[in-house]
Amino acid sequence: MRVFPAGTLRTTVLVAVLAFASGCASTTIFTPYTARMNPLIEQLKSGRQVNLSRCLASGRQSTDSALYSLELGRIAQIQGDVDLSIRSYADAAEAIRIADDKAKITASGALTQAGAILTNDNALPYRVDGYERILLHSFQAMNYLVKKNLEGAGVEIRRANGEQAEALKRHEEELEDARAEAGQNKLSPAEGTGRVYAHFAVLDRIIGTVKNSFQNAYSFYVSGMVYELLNQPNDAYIDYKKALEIRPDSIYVQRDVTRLARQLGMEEGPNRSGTGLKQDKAGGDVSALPDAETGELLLFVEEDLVPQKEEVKIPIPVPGTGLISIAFPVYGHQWSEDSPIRVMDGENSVGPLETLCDTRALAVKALKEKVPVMVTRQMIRGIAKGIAARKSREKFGSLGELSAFLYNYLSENADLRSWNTLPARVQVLRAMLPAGKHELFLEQEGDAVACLPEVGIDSGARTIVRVIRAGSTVKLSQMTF
Amino acid sequence: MYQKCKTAGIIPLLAALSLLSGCATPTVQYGDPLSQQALSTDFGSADLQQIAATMVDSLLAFPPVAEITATRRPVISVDRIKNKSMQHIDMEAVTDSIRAKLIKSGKFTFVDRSTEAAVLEELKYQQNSGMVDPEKAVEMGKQHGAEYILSGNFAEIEQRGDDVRDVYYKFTLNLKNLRTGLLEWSDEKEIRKVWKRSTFGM
Repeated sequence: MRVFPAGTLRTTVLVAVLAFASGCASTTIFTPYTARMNPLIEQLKSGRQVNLSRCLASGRQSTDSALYSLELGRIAQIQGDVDLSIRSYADAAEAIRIADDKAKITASGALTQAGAILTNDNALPYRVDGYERILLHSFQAMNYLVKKNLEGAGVEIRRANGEQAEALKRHEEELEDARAEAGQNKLSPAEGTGRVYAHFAVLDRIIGTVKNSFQNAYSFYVSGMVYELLNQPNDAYIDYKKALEIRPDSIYVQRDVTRLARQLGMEEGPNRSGTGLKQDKAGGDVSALPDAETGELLLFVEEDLVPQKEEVKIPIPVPGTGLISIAFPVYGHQWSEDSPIRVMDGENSVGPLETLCDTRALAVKALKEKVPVMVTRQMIRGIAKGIAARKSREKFGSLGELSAFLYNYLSENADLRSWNTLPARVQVLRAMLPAGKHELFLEQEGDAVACLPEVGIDSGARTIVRVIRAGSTVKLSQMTF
Repeated sequence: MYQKCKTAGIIPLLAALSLLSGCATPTVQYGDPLSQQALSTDFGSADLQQIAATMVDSLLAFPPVAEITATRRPVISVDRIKNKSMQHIDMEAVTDSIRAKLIKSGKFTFVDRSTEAAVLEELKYQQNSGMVDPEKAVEMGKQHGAEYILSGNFAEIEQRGDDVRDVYYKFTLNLKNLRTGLLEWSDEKEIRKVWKRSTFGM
């Protein structure tokens, strides 16, 4: 007695085996990653406490442990559990390193590749994107600053800088690999790529605002700041200049470059780079240093959360099969233009916030860059699935065809994985304030949009304030050096 | 029957796969802290021991230092070594190793600034609490001041290729005369580790 055709059973068993092999604890092969994350994000945004001990535990045992550790590190950070955040980020960094160091040809790698061909990209372990790797270390540096561990923060900013340099190299290599893979399989992904690119069209202007998909001025700025705290002004100067290269219009970064150039006796430096720093647009004193009555405020505001990838079905021409509707991840929604935010101290304006990292633009650009690779892989998968369906029809007739169709339909899921709890953008303000307590608030288009918990400024000291705003949650941590 | 055989074939496969995915019991063994076998490009215990030993030997063998320590044991303070690398290293452990090696050499006497707060509290208690016999209490202001300070830093340069990671560690130590401000001795020790990706693996 046979209830199921053997082909279907065989496929099911094979998929099950592959799922086991790739760490079935928390696979996103059949459940989109965003569906897994959304309940947590809702809790975060509404200010409810997420149970951190149970949070993402199964995910952290899976092959995507780096990604889940990143999410946990960030959630813990938002909720103020710095020790857990440090541990989770360290786990993520270790998982990334292990993945990077893997042998060229591995048994588990071959299995997951085979699994991905029969199912979808979610079967492959998540490769942490360049911008995510860099922000991991910058946020970890912030954790060490909260713990007043300057040496630890120093280690992390050096790692972030290493990643910024490394990402550029790796990025070029990956594009080359994609071209080679397409060539090897005698596939021409150009047409399919064009079809997918069309879905990114609404975001082209945003993509144009970033130089590349990984480097961001915020990480260099944090690095400069930590080097200053470590009393290494020369290193600080170099990183502020790198931040300025990415954000040449930033008044705060301009001031810091000028201040350090003056301090180091290199006043010609910044002007040589063509940034013309003699004029400070905001009229601020570029060489101001804290004195007996004032202290310096360095405010970082992490706004909102980065958008999630969405799935769209796009018909792609596949050799031997024709047009196949394939699921792709895209960022399909245009977000509204951000109006500038001003920091107010009672009636007085402290200054405008400046965006140093637009994570949204980085995420969109990073995904768009991967389109040719995804299209190539999808074409290979389309061919494999097409052959399987034909075989099934030949052997078991219409029932076989139906089961193959159902399987293909169920397994056609876009890879929606990415670090979801990152801020949409990170903004900065640096200003001198009279020593004492200050009740600051953020003003947008004349309306107060967020009141910050009280900030204490010590005379002659540097106070770093980190604000995380997501939904109705406003978290503030303050460190004085 | 055919179905049964198929299922029976799957079970050993599953068992093999679960082993592959890391359910096997890990083994841990005691090792020689001075063993030269490098497991990764990270800064490890063997590197630490090697650095501490080499640096202290270099310091004691330096002729002017040998001269200073020939007739008396100068007072020295060992500052915390600065970590400028890309790894979270317990620099206190490195500093402790160097200090312990120097102490064992018997050439210097040491002041320890790290316990200052506790010492101050104890002295205050002895002087002010009224609980300690004034004749037996330790007097304030009689401690030795350091004549020399030993400081240093630890830097790392990493170069990554496709299948190679080349890490260069540089460890620098300086001995400064606090009275004259002169740098009496300085040395550096370098360690280079090269990691190569293997072609096959699990």
